Amino acid sequence: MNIEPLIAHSEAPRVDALTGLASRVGLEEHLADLSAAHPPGQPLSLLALELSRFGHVNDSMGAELGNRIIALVARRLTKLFAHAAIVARTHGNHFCLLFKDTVDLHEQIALVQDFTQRPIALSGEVIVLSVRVGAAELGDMVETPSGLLHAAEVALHRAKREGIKRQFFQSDQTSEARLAQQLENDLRVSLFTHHAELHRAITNREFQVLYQPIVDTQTHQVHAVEALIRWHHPRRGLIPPMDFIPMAEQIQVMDVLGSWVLRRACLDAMTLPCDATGVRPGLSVNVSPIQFAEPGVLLSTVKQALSDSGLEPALLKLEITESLSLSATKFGVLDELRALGCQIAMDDFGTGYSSLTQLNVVPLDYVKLDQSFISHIGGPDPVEDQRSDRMTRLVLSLAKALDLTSIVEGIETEVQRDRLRQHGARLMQGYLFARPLPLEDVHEFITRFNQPAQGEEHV
Amino acid sequence: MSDLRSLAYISKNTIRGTEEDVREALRAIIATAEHNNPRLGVTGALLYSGGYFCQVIEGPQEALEALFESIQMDRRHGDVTVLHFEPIAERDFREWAMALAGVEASMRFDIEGLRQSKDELVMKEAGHHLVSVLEELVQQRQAVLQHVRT
Repeated sequence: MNIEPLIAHSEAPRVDALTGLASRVGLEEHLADLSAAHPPGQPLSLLALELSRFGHVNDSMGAELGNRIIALVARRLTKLFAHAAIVARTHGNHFCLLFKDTVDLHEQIALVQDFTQRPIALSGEVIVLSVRVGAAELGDMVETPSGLLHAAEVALHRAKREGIKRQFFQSDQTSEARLAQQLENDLRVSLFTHHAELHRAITNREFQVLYQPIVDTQTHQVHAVEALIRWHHPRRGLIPPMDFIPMAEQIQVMDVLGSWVLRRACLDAMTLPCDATGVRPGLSVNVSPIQFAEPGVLLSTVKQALSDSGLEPALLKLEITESLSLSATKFGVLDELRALGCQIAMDDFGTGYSSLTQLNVVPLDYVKLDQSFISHIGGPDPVEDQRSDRMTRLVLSLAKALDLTSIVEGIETEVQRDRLRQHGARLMQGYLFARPLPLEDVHEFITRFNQPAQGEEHV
Repeated sequence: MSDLRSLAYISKNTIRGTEEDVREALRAIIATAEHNNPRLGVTGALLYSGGYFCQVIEGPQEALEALFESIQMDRRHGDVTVLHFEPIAERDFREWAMALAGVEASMRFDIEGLRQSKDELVMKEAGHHLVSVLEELVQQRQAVLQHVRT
């Protein structure tokens, strides 16, 4: 591959500076070019490689030696494959080989494994690496060259999950299961790729934090904003949190994602405009039950996010779900979080399994009423309307009896807003006021919504 | 020389062919080494036995690392196991760019066993043992050659 013309454009490097190989961007562009003009029937296959013990090497021997090892592996791959393939370094310890002719992939994989796993003598040390390979070929399952990189990475991550050294991209599942599987793999790939340099996820805008205002309908000020994560899949578009959060939990990346959201949101919250009395809107952040599995990590993540951002602890609400099984250790973390000055809100209040006895002992400040309670209020069915109304009043008075402040979610109509106000609810959230908004838009919303302190009450 | 080191490894022969093909390959390996090693300041010895190469190379660290890397990229062998890579006070094969210690000499230690071993101490010990075996073999051959000459 002639890399000279690639170097000329330097805004997004097409060449990896350390190894001189094509970068991920370079490879992606090359694949896109091939997609635009690829003769049908022409073979194309791609191997995605990961040096799997590399993190350990980097940690124990230092990044400088790590870089020398990467450069050496690049030279080995170039020597072996440059005549037959495009060799790219796609990320950190990840390389790719793109073959444009018919090759026996099994043979090529064996070659890769043989030579990258041969000992390396550098800086007086002997290092033996281990490599994992994901393979994909153009064909029934991967129809365009651009899809190859993704397919090979999916195969690589499946190999990793299965604890094996090599895996071919395959579809041995029904289309629905396959989609779910792919989504999970995509998430794994996205997060994995970004694990070491999460800032890439932000620059790529693949993960974005949106903010939905929670308004005080009595003072007509924005009380707080709830941070909600969105995943903009490069090809599938917007994936709702309910689809990918359980996956993130399952594949044990929720802690990474959770800490990133918390930190991002705290930094963003510091930029929000204060109301006329000089009070900044609060910030509400969801904490996954998974994050409670490591209470120490959660606690230090919160502390770090607060100190990095300078956000006043009292402005931070951590939303837990009722499904969090409330064991004594978890109470302990909640107590410690409150001792920091943070507030605890229980999400989806009334939909879970908490007993009243439990509710009375959990250290809480807020409860959020699930929108299922109010969805029929003001609806076409008067019986449902009445039932919803009664339930809502019951839950609101329960919260009040427990000395908790209620936030009602899912307010979509003025009727709902007015009825809830009659029942004594002040804090509300829903599409009637605003949907989840990007940071810039939430700024604008707050400025527009907040009434001067001395102003008439008007909702 | 303060950064003088010794590296010992064993590897599996992947040359397919007759015994003569293997001997031919060995002659080529020695010829290349005799050509390149003096320039690099590298000395050493090579033994071929029972389908395995056993080699000791010694010299300045950087030259040794570069040479070892080029040896690694040789397709004539595989399954390389490094026995030791350590500083030495003096060379064991100072007169040899690459001495051929033998082609058929029966090994006095268990190569397969070594390859399975994960114990660093066992490997090191085997490496030192290999060096002394090679040294002995080289001296024997030298004695035989001198005897023939005189």
